[in-house]
Amino acid sequence: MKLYEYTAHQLHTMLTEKKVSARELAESTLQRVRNLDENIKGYVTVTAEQALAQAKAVDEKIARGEEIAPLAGIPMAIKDNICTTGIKTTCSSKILANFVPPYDATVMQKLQAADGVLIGKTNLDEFAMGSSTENSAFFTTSNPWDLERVPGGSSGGSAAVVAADEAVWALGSDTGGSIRQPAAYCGVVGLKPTYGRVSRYGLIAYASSLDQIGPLTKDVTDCAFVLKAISGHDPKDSTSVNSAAPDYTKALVNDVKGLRIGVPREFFVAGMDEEVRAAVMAGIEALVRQGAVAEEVSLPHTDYAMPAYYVIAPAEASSNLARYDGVSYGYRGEGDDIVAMYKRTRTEGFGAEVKRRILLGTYALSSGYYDAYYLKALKVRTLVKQDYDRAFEKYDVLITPTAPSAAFKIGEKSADPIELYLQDVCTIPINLAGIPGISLPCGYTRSGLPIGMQIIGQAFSEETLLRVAYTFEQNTDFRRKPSLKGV
Amino acid sequence: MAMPPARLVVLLVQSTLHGHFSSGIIIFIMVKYVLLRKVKRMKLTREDVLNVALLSRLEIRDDEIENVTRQFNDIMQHVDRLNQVNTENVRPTAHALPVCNVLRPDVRQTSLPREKAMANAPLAEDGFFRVPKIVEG
Repeated sequence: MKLYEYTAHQLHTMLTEKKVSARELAESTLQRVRNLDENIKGYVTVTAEQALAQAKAVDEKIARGEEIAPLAGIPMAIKDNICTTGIKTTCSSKILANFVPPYDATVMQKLQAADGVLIGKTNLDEFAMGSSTENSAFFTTSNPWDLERVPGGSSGGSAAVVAADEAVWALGSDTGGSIRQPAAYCGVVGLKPTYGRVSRYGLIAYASSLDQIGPLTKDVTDCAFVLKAISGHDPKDSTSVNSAAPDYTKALVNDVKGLRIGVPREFFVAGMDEEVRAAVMAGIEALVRQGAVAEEVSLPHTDYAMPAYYVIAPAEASSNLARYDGVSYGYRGEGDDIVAMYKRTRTEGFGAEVKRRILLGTYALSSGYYDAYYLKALKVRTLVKQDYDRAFEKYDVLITPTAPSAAFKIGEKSADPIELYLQDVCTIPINLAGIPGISLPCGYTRSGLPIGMQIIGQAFSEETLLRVAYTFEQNTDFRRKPSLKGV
Repeated sequence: MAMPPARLVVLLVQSTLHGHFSSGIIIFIMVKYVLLRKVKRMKLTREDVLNVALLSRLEIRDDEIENVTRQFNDIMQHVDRLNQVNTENVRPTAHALPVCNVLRPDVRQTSLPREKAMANAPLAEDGFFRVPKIVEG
C-alpha cells in the first residue's frame, strides 16, 4: 500500500510510532498530484512549498517528543471558496481569479493550529453554484471513477481529490447539497453539519442562511476527526452556536440496536434511478440486521423545497454578490462612469449561472414581487422544517438516497438549468431545515459508479449520524477505490 | 385562456351583433377574463429581464436576451408551484435555528492594517481606492 492511500487516523498512528515522517507523506501525496491531476483537474492551486514547510515543522515536533494533534502532518485539500492567508482564493471565478486573502477563515486557523499540511485549493462551481464543477470559470473536474463523468458539485474538486488519493481528506461547503452530492458521486464520506456548528467566517458567502463548511473523507472515522477539529463557537460568526462541540470521535460506536429509522416515501419517487433505490433500500436492511427498526414516513412538503430554495438561495446570493463592484478587490472592467464600470466588472467577471442566480434573486426581492416570492418561500421553508420536526419526534434518523442517480456525463445536463437543479432534490430540504446530513457509499451501479446513502438527523445530532454511519461501514464492504485505468 | 384578449373581444362583439349574448353576459365574461389573467402570472418579457439586469448591474447582450428570458420564465414557472401551498397563518423562517442579535462589549480592537486591506485593490493611490468620477462639478 502506498502512503497516499491510507486514512488520516491510520497515518496519525504511523506518524506517532515514527514509521513514517510528515515529509515523506507530503512528498508522496504531492507526487500523486503531479502524476494524476492533469487528468482529474481537482486542484486550482497546488501549494507544494507550504506543504513541505508545514510537514517539516511537524517532523520537528515529533523529534522533540511533543504530542501532535490527530490531523498534524496529514495532507489536506481545501475548497477554493475558503480564505487562506497569502494563498489565492478564487471561488473558481474570473472576478476573484487573482484574489489573495489578507486573513484566514476560522476553520483554516484551527487547522493551522492543528498542524494540518495544505496540499492545495480545490475546484468548484463558480461561487459554489452548481452540481458538477462545469460552472467553474477555469475547467471541469473529472470523476476518478470515470473521467468522462462529473464529480458532482459544487465541492467536486474536494471530492475528486480525496477519491483519487490526491489528498487524505478535504473541506467542502454545502448550501444545497454541495458536500453530500459530490461525496456520493465520488464514493467518499461527506458531512454537512448543523447550521451554526462550524464557523462560516472566511467562507466566501453564497447563501448565508444555508451555507455550512464540512469534511470530505475516506471513511467515517476520519469524518469524526475532521469535524472535531473544525467545530465550535466563533465570535466572528454571529450565527455560530455558543456551545462547546462534543468529542465526535467518541461517537464511533458499532451499535444501532433499537435505532428508529424513518424512510421518507417522497424521496423514492418516480424518475429515481432503480439501481440507486435498490442500493439504498439494501443499505437500510443492513442496518436493520444490526438491530435498527425501519418504517416508512411521509414528509409532505418535500416537493416544495426545491422551488423555495431557488427563491431563497438566489435572493441571498444577489445580496451577497453585490459586493463585487471592482472597487476594493477583485476584477475591474473598464467604464467611463461608475455605473458603466460596475456593469462591465460584473458582466465580464461572473459566469452564466452566477448571473442567472443574481437576476433571479434580484427579481424575487424587487418591489412588488417580494411578498409573492421571497416571503412565500420563507413560509414554505417553515413548513418544510416542521415536516422534519414532526418526523424526529418519532425517529432517530431518516435515510434517503443522496442523489437521484449516479454521476452523469460531462455536458449531459449543461443545456437545461432545471435538469441540473434536480440533482440536488434529495439534499436541498436538509439545508432549508438547518439540520445535519451525512453521505456515505452504499453500493455501485452495474457500470461501477458509486451510489450514496444520506443519513439525516435533527439539529446537533452529528454524534448519532456518525454512530449510524460507522456501524454501517463496519458491517458492510462498500469502501473501494477507483481503478483509474488509462490515467 | 390561450386566446389573445383583442381577438376575444372581437369575437364577443361579433356574437353580440348577431344576438347571441346579452351585454350583461359580455361584461361578466370580460371581467372574469381579466381576473383570471391576474391570478396566472404574467410571463416576463425581455424588457422585464433587462430591467432586472439594470438593478443587478449586469449587461445582457442582444444575442443573449432571448435565451436568458426563456430560461428565466422556465425557472419562474417551476417556482410558481409554491402557490399550491397554503401558507395562511404560517410564519416565515429566515434562519433555521432561533438566532438573535449577538453583541460584544464596545471595546476598541485591532483591525487589518490599511496596506493589507488595500493590497487587492484594482486601482489605489495614496491610501485611497481610485474609481471613475462620481460627483460632477
